[in-house]
Formats: sequence, C-alpha cells, structure tokens
Amino acid sequence: MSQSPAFVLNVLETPEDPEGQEPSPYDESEVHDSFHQLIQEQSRWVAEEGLELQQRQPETGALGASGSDHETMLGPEGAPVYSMATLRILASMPSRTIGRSRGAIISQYYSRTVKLRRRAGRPQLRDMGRSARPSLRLYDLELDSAVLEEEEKRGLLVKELQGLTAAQRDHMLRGMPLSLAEKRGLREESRPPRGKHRAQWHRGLLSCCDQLRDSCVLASHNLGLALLSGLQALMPWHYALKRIGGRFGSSVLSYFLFLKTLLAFNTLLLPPLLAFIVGVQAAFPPAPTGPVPAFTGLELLTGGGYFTHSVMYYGYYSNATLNQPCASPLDGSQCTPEAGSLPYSMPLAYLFTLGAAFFITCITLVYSMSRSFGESYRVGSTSGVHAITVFCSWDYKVTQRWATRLQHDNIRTQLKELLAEWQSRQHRRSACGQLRRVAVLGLVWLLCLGTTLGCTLAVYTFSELMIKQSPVSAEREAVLLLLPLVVCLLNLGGPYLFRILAALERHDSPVLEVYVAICRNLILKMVTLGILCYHWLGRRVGTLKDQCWENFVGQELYRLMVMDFIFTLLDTLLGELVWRLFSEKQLKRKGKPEFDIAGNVLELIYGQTLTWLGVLFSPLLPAMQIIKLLLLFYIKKASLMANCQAPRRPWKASHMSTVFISLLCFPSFLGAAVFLCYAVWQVKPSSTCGPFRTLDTMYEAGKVWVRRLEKAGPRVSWLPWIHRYLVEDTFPIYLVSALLLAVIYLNIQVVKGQRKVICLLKEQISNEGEDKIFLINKLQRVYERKERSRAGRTEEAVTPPALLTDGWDAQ
Amino acid sequence: MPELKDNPFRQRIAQVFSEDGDGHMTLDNFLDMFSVMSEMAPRDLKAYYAFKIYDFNNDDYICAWDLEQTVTKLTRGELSTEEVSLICEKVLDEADGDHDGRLSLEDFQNMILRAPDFLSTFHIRI
Repeated sequence: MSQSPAFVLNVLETPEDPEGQEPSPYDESEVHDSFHQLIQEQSRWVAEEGLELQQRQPETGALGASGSDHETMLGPEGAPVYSMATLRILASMPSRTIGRSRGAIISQYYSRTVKLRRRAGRPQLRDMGRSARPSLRLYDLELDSAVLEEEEKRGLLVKELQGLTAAQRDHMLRGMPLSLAEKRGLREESRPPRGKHRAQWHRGLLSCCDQLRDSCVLASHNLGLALLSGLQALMPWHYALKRIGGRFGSSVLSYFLFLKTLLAFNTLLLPPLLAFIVGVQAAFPPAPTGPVPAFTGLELLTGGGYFTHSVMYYGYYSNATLNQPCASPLDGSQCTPEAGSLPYSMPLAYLFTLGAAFFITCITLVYSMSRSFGESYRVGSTSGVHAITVFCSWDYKVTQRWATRLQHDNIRTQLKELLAEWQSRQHRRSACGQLRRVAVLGLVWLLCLGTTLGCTLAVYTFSELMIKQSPVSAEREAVLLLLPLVVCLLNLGGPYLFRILAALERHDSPVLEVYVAICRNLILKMVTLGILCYHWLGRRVGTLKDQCWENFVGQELYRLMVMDFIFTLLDTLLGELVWRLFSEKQLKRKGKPEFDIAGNVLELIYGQTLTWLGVLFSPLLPAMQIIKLLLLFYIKKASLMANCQAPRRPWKASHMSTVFISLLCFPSFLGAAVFLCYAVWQVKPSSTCGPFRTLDTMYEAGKVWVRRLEKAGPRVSWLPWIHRYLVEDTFPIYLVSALLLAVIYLNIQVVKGQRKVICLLKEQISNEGEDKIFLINKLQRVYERKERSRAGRTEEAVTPPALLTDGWDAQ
Repeated sequence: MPELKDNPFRQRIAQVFSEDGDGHMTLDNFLDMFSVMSEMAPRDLKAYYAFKIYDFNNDDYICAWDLEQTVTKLTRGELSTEEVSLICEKVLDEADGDHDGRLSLEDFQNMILRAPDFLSTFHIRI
C-alpha cells in the first residue's frame, strides 16, 4: 500500500492531483510547478500514445537500459547527455544541497540540536507522510513553501544551542564544519545571559548565590583547561616524539609511545610501594644480623653482596609490628603509650600494598586495552582495504623530504602488493601447490617449536647444573651470572634463527608474516620464563631449606634484568650500528637497516614481565625498570636517528598498538599474576627472613588478622563475615564467573545482530541508488520526448506553407 | 610552513581552507586548518575536510577522475595507467554504496568509520 503505485495511478486517472509529491528544500516553487507541468504532459502523452514503459530508442548518447542493474554515470567519455531542465532538477536534489553551503550546514545542525533536545518526544513514524524520503525524515524540514533565510536559521540554531547543556553545546560546536570565527560567534551568542536578566527576577541573596555559583563553575572550567594545556606542554619528550614521527612515521612512533605507556605503568606501581613498604622499613631499620660485606663493583651486576641486607630485598623486612606504642613490658608494669605513635604491622602492609598495587595495575591495563580495542576494531573493517589504503595511508605528520619520498615508495609498494594479491587470488593455486605450501608451513612451524624446546631443555639443564654448584661462596659470585647469560643469549639468537626459517615459507600477506614472527618469539620467551619460574618455586625452595630463598629469587630477577639491558644495548650496537657500517663499506648498499618494531616491543614486554614477577621479592625493582626505560628511550632514539630507516611493510599503527597492549595484558601480566598468586597461596615462606617467617603461607597473615578482628568485638564483625562468606567460600566466585560469561555471550550476540543490520542497510542504500538512477533516466526521457514533440510541431508549422506553395506552384 | 612543504596535497589543502578557494589563507583560515588537523578534532569533522581535499574538481563528489588524481599524487606518478585505473575501480567497488559511480560524502564517511588509522594519519603535530 505504498504511495508510489498510487502516484502512477494518479497520473493515469487524475492528472491534476499534486498531493503526495515530495518537496525539495530549495527552489521549491519552481520544482513544484515544473513537476506539475510534467505530470500533466506525461498524462496527456500516455493518453494519446498508450503506455509504453519499455519504449527505447537507440541514441548516440548511450542512455543506460532501465532494466540493467548498474546505471553508472560515467565520466566525460560515456556520459548521458541531460537536458537543461533535468540538470536543474538534479541540482536541487536534497543530497546535493545538504552539507554544502553554509546555510545548509546551519540548518542541518539546527535539526540535530532539535532532535537532541526533544529526544523523549520523537514524532511517531506513522505520522510521517509515506512519500517523504528517509533522508528528509531525518532532517525534519518544514514542509511549507516558505524557505527560511540563512539569518533566521542561524537565530533558530542559537536558540536551540542555548537550550543545551554546556558540554553538549561545546561538543556540537566542535563538530560543525564552519570556520573558527563563525563558531566563536555562535558560542558567544548562545552563552546563557547572566547578570541583569536574573537580577530583575530574583532579588537578594538568591541572585548573589547564583552569580557566585556561575562564576565558580566558569573559573573552575577555565582552570581545568589551563591545567590540561599546561600538562600537555609538560609531557615528556613531546618534541622528541614529534621529530621521530616526522622522520619515520606512525609505525616507529608506536614503539616509543608503547615505551611511554610502560613508563606510566611503572610510575603507577612505584609510589604505593615506596610509601607503605620501603619508606616505613627504612625509617625503622631492623637490627643487623651479621657483618655487612663491603661494597665491590660486582654488586651492580649480581645484586648480592652489599645489597643483600638492604631495603632492596624481601629478607630485610621485619615480621613484627613496627612503632609499637609500648615496648615489651619487661617489668610487668602498665605501658604508657607514646604520644602520636601508630602501630604499623609490616606483614599486613606488605601483603595488602602489593595486592592493591597489582589490582590497580590490572584495572588500568584492562581499561586501556578495552579502549584501544574499541578504537581500532570495527565491524567489517577487513573489507575495503584498497579504499583505506588510498585515503588513509598518507601520514600528514611526516615532514622531511626523504621521509616523504620513502612514504611515496611505501604506498606504491603497498598498492602493487594489493593488486598482485588480488590477481593471484584470481588464479587459484592448484591442489598440488596448496599441499606443498601447507607442508612447508608445517615443517617450518615444527622446526621453530623444536628450537624452542631445545632452548627450554638447555635452560633447564643449566639451572640444574647451577643447583649442584650451590652454595656459592662470596668469591665466586660471578658464577651466578652464567644462568642469566645463557637465557639472554638464547633470547637473542632465537629470533634471528626464526627469521632465517621464515624465509623458507612464503606468506600471501605481509601482515600475517609479522604476526607469525611475533607469535614465535613470544612463545620462546614465555616458555623460557616458565621454566625459570618452575626452577625457582619448585626446586630452589627445596634446596635452600634454611636460607632465604626469596632473597635468592629476587637477586636472580635483578640479574636477569641487568643482563637483558646489557644485551639490548649489544643488540642495538651490533644489529644497527655495525650492520649499517658494514653494509655501507663492504656491501656498498645505500639502504640502512630497518628498525625492527616487533622485536623491540617484545623486548619491552619481556622486561616488564620480569619486573612484575620480581615485585614480591624485591620491592625496588619498579624503580630499576623506570631507570632502564629512561635510558632505553634515549639510546634507541639516538640509534634510530643515526642508523635506521622506517620499515617497508605496511603497518597499521592503531592495530599494532592494540596487539601490543593485549600482549602486555594476557601472557605477560596474567603469567606474573599467576606466579605471584601461587607464591602467596601455596609456597611456604622461609623461616629465617622476611615479614612472613613464622607463617605457613604468606596469605595466612591476612587470615590471622581477620581472626584477630573477630575476637576484637562485634563492632567490626562485618569484615570477618565478608571474609568468611565471600572470599573463602567458592560459591560467590562461581556466581560471578557465570554472570561474566553471560554478559560476554550477550555482547557477542549484539555484535552479530549489528552486523546483520549493517548488511541490510547496505542493500537498502544500493536499491535506493538504483531507484534514483531509474527515475532520473525516466525524467530525462520525458524531457527528450517533450523536446522532440516541440521540434516536430515547429516542423509541421514550417512545412505546410511550403507544401501549399508547392501545391500552389504545381497548380 | 615546514610541515606541509613536501605534502603532495598541499595545494588542495590551501584551496580548501582559504576563504575564496584560490589558496590565499588569512590567519583565521590558518587557525581553521590547524584546528581541523589537530588531535582533538572529531572524526566527522576531519572526514568532511578530507573529502573536500580529495575532491579535486569541487563538485561535491569524488568521481573516478578525482580518484585517479589522488592515486597519481600519492605514488608520484610511478604506477602505470592500467594499475591506476584498476585501483580506482576497486576503490569504487568497495566504497560506493549506491552504485552511482562516484563517492558522496556519506560513502566517504562510512568508509572512514571502518578505518581506525584515519585519526592518527590525518593529523599534524604542532
């Protein structure tokens, strides 16, 4: 029951019915009249010649067939030639006028603000005339013949903006494609009038309060903006990052931004540890247990010796309550509490501070990962790669001449690769070729996994060897450096071996190559770390029965971190500087080595994992990581500027940032959290050192405290109740997990539904486009017929006198 | 302006942001340009101006000719004519929603929505 067939019926039966026509926003009366004329003529024609919808006349203008699917309006070569009347109507279509002139923009935003304000009272769909096109419905245009002037529209927009809140107004103004001067004008006019308008209505104290509140709000808003701009100026390395972005593009910049993110995470982790653990213990040092060894230079590498009995390691911390108000009552008398003293339970503080710091880190990581994921993932973002390459790959940040030239080359290579990929997909590979490809892929993966297994076995054997070597005397402490050395050598050599093996396989897409390389390197590093964790918690705890095993683990992690830093420096030196000199002098090649983004990022993630693993045993490890990251920034920047060039592979910077931060969250943070949970819940702490020396597990400190609270009295009974029924009982945990799974499932279904809706809408747009072309062509044919008939009539008017004269002459 | 010295679209940028469309920018136009190319500009605003920049003949549509100009400028003329026309064809296939042979503003905005990199590449650091 749509009205378009009724429209046609009207043409046949009641040619004078102009109802149900769709108006156009501009030149409306003209269009209205010309449509009206058109309908009358059309109906007359149809009445005279009969309905011939499919009549076609072969023309040189190459009008497309109305029955064909694709009516494309081509460029100048094959374009259908439209008459002036058709072109006039085309020029006044809504899609051509909306969003172009300033008046059109203002009216568009006026209707948007109206919609925003009247969100609750949306007019019903059935009240809309069915002939109104969906785009017109959206813009809510007045359907009367008077066209409002631009100034009036502007006044209406200002009035609507006044009705919005300040935040909405700013958001709306920021999105308007008008010049800054006009936006400033609109903002000035739409500021709510203060002062005399209000003073007239409310007198006395009320007006003073309102004015005060307004000025306070405004002042705080301005202060906030000033702070924000000041903070942006204070951001570290702002100019350095701009230079890097300008010379190497967004891809290399993403590595340095990731480094900055890691620095932020460590800076978040350090202050609670400093304030609640290290600072307090440093203020109340325990009694020294033995002679302190002298400081030799080797401590900086091994972490032992002088550093063993310092705030750096777990063993230094006392297991008693510090700053007791009364000393142990030796003489049985009443103890007088000292003024202003607070008892501070070190074990509780250690456990809770670490737990809280890890919890905050976890929340921040998950939040930044979800935000990054939300920015970089789009439904249907895998299609349209050509369009995205053409329109979104030119990086406007790049400013140097040679860098822009490199960008031109990169984009050209990218486009050529896309075309080659498309052409190769056109010619499908034979089954034999596919089989061969799969076999090669399987072989290379097998070799890589075999290498990883080999490295793991090597680390395991070496660690068992080190156990046999212990106990190590003070003179041979350098032997302890051997295990970290072996681990770092394997971590350095593994990726190069994987790169050589990967040259055998030939992937279709270069992006997949990068992902596969990252995957293999990650597996190697994580498996090595896993073996080391087993070695510490499984074997070392057993062999170091009456010594401080936590100190040992803390020192091992310190040594690993230092060795990792040294090897990163070596890799930068050899891999970049020496390679560049070698390739320039010996091989006489002009190109510099590429900056290996994936490898460097994995190094950063590895270092951060070591920090998180070691925080329990050495609370000052985040400080060391901060120093290491700062040094790494400057060293990598210097090496990059001098020795490297940007990678040639296409690199979707936002995609890769998401991948980096998810890798940081999932294998890295999760692994460290699992390790620490196991250490806290299951392993017996050593009995000679540390804050938990008298307990069975570290977690027991919390349980002991809760039991003490229970005995303390009924006033704090809610805390033990929570502990007993929500933490120790497993049922709430199952409930929460089940709820979480249900929420995830619902979200997946919502996304699926949205994808379906997008498909349907795309089809609808395509159909509307075909309708439009069909109607334009019919319009054009009608006008042409009109022209022809007019030409025919003038011919008739011209020829009869000639015939008459002929006949007259003949007579 | 050193940031745009080697940009292949610098003439189009100047034409789009200048008041009379001939490339001469006043201070306000200059501020407009940096405001649009800054980090804080919303995506729709950037997409609107990017559309105007890539529309070489200013007819409010990106037709095949505009696309050819864009690709030629991007690759500094080093692709062959067949490759350029093949790429333009594929771009129109992918992005043209109503199949009229050219990209309207809505088609362009729809395509930009699917490209999360756009915000970071259409950005000049000051």
